[in-house]
Amino acid sequence: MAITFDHVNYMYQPNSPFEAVGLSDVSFTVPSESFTAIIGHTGSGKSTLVQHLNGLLKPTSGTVTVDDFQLTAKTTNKHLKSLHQHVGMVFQFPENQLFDQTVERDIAFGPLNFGFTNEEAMSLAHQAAHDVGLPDELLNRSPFELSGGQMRRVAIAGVLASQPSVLVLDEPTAGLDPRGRAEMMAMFAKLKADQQLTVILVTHQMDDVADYADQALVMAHSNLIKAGTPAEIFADPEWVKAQQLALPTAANFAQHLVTRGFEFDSLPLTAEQLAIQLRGQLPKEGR
Amino acid sequence: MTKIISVDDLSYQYPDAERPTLNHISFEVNAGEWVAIVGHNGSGKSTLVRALDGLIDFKSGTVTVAGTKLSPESVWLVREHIGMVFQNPDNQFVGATVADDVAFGLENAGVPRPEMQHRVQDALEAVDMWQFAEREPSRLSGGQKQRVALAGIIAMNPSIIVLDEATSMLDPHGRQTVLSVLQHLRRSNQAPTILSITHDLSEAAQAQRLLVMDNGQLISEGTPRAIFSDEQLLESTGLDLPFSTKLSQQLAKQGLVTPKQYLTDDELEDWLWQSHLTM
Repeated sequence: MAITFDHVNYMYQPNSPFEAVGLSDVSFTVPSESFTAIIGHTGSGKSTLVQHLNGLLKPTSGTVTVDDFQLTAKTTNKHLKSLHQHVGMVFQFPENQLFDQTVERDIAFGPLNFGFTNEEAMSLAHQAAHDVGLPDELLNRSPFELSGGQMRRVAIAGVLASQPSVLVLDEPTAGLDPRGRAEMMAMFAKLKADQQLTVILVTHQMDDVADYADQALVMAHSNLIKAGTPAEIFADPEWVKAQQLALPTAANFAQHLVTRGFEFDSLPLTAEQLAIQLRGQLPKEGR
Repeated sequence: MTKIISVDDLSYQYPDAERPTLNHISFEVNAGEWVAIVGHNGSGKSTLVRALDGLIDFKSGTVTVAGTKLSPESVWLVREHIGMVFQNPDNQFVGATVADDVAFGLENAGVPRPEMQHRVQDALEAVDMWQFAEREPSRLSGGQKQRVALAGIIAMNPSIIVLDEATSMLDPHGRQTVLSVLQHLRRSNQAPTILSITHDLSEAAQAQRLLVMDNGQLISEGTPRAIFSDEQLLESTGLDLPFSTKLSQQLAKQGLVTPKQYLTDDELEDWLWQSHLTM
């Protein structure tokens, strides 16, 4: 599903002493079935932006379009249900939102809520559990007996069970160990490919942006200050640093090599790209 | 060198758990040393540091902190030596303002008000947060919150600071500010012993010594260089490989020269430059 923001403004607590700008004239388009990263330091407006994707917040002015659904200041809450079903949100530390007695029932809660029959909901729950790599024998356990990583998978399965076409992930790997992080990012890439999902990822991990994103949106002070492919976003390291953002590890290392006389056609963003560009600049092994 | 922490044959099993979370752990930490404990989630790292603070009622083994053997009678004495910063910055605030929050521990300890005021100021200055003294903690960024939490501990002047994944929820900038506060603190007069639990290799690299935990056991210990050199150990314990190692692997794939032993990122940069010059 394609997503468009057209001159979206959002005010927190308008006409009160606490009035504050949340989003300022934000416009962009996310193509269907693409992987988009949203970056920017804490408080830049990333979370405010993604909360518009499923109508948790409505624009003060401007229009958010998700496929054929339009969200404006005037959209009433009862019209939001189809948006809720099509846009699955995985918040930070989603395991804190688990509540039911068994893993199966927790995952099936969404589909039941959207009007699927009990039988359909259970079947969707089993499929979603399988998709996130939860073994069947866990389905009748209490979610609270599981490890942190497994609990997070249950919460993500609960979102996937409603068969959304857009998956919004707000720092989904925070607090996981490196192996857990790598497994979870690989899982999202596979889910995107298998289920033709449009994925929106809010992240501080620039290496994930380099490895997975088709495009990135950079937020600062409630404004969208840059949009483009990761190569375009990181092409100007001075600008990146001025935004208090980091370069991907490989790009940062490549920058150091440039000062030592190495040359790169374009800034490499991953270790693999860097090694490829070092061909011809280093001796071959075994010579 | 004075041993400030001695753990001898410590074992602990949570009620209902199938296997012990801590399995015959023994190690020592020197006063003023920075030791990082690494290992994947569930390896027992957090349980281990909770045992040091008497938060876990272990039955087997001994823990000695600053010469005092931990027991139900001595637990309060031991806790005076240890300040802990936890992972989630939102779960550790009690004060309405930043200054109140930092003062909380001092108030509990009955420190007279004039002394309290200057200790709060000193602590907030040490973490570069004095200008936020009258702010509400809930309105700060994650990195600022963790620095305030750290200030609350610095004000108490403990000889040991324990960081339980204290930077894992922070953005890169926030993580950097917390790490630079710690570096600064180590060069100050307080020079506390630091015990940090972390998955972050750049944080672990700042420690003098790493303890590697897996399945409740201490499976390896050594300098960051020694541990980072051991690719098999890093992979089997679910840790990340250092960037220099990842790049060396990619260079090998391209049929290019690679260093024969582990190098830090800076050393690899030098080494690549030297190799480049031979072309």
